[in-house]
Amino acid sequence: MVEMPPSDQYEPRAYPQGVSGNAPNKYAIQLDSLVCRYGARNVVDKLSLRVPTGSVYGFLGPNGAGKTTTIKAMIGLRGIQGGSINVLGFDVETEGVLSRERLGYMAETNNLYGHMRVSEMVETARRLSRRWNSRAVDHYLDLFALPRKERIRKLSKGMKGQLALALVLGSEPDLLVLDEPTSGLDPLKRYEFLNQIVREVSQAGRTIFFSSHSLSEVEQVADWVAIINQGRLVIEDELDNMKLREKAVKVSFEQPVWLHDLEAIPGVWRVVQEGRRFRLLVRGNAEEVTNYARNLGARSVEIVDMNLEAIFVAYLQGHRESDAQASGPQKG
Amino acid sequence: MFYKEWRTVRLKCGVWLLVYTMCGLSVWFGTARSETVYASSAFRVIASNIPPDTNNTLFQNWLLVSALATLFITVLGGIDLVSEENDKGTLSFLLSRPLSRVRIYTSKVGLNVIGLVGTYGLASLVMLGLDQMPRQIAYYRSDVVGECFETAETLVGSIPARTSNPGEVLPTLLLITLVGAGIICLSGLVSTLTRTTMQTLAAMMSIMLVTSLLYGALANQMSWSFINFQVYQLSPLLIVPTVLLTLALFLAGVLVFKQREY
Repeated sequence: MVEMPPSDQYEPRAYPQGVSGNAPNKYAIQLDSLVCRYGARNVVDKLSLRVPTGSVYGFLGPNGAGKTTTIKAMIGLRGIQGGSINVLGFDVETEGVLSRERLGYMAETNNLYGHMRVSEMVETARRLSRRWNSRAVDHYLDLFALPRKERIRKLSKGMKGQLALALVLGSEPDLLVLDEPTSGLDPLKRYEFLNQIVREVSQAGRTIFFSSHSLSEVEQVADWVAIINQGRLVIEDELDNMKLREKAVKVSFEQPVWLHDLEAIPGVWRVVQEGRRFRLLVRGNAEEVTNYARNLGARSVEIVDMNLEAIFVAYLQGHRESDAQASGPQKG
Repeated sequence: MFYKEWRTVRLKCGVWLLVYTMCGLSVWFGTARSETVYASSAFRVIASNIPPDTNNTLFQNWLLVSALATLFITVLGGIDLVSEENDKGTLSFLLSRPLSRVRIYTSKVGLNVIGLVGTYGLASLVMLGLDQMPRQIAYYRSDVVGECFETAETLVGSIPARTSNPGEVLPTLLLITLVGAGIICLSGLVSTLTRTTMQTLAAMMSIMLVTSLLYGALANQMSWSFINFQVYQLSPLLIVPTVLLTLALFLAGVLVFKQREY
């Protein structure tokens, strides 16, 4: 185990370029056609992801989309039935121990030993890690005001989550995999997590991969986003690109208009009727779409920026509709 | 890994030591009592059909009692090896650390076996020491006195207590320890296959019940063999198969734990 040298003030260790067994990696995580099954059901279905090194990567999806299963496969908690997973340059199936040396994982549910005191849990984590920075752990324990002599079972759910996070950060991982890290945290701690911890860690050049149901949180900190549904990738892109590209054009007409006329406008990938108005989801140049809409007799046209939540809902609805259409003829 | 496991096993070892101490005390007082009873011809037939010249030594009685105790404590001690961590969700903490599953499982089973060997070995050493100590067995005669069938015990004499030959009993001690280790490995295997400690307990109890029923007739025969000291001759022969079976159970546990999804 490598003990970090003490310094007067804790500063996250910078991402060590080229310390892995392999060359410095462009991607911290690479999933290629990953398949995970529960029984005969494909929970993760040919999922491919690229998580750039140093990014804060939000992993989104509705309940049961396969997020936790994907994360568990990345950590090596479960096997895979197809494809491959490469984490920090190591194949998880054959070099799982090596990848976990440089990876910190915080589970969705509390996975700490309730009978231990906080200080004992810290000592246990230290002994189970190859690399440890006591100063970092002390820094985060103080930040969260966690009582070191208290037994873990007596801590609140939020405090257990904070302790788990402090332990993960103590091993100074190059990649943090966080499954719903802010669930159970009160608004203040959530704010601290997002604005302080994520910033500290990401500024050190490390990669953060986290799943969350709170889209506003993801939007606040993530620079890359992937949305999955039913184990399949719906979209993966840089958040800024996504927000620049995805626009909504709200239009209303005095005269009735055919829906397929709106769907036929170049750049429109989905039309949502909202009462007497239509919301055209546009990928690309929204200005051109407004011109087409005006040519169709639109009375009012308005370009609206889409936030992550709107993009998420639009993509998932589109994905579900296309799934329903694909399975429709088979069902007869 | 050993640090973390030792924190769990040390509590278990304390409980095991307590159980063995109670067994030792019961054997100590029980052996003296039985030898007293044999001296009374009035109670000889009631007490047992065992002729007085074949009665067990202190250490032989210890082996009988401790074998039963070992059976129970290893079943109860081994059921929480993996399933409890799975049940409480702490297994993901371990599995996300840079440790191989083989190392995790080996540490869990290994420390439990070391705990068993340590506690059982210590208790047996004490009992062997007591057995080897020169001591006198007092013989009493019980007589009915008075009108209400009250009895009075009269000292009729004393003889030196029989002691065990360590060379004869140590293979049996080793065999019991190995059976205990085997049961820990079996519990470990079962606890990797189940999701909760209660499921493991139910499965282990079912296994023990079925095994007991199947073994019943043979065990009855074995008890006579044991008393007639034939088991001491059998013990060295049983050691190698028991070691092989224990290793097979351990390897099966490792394989299942390696493949299991958590």
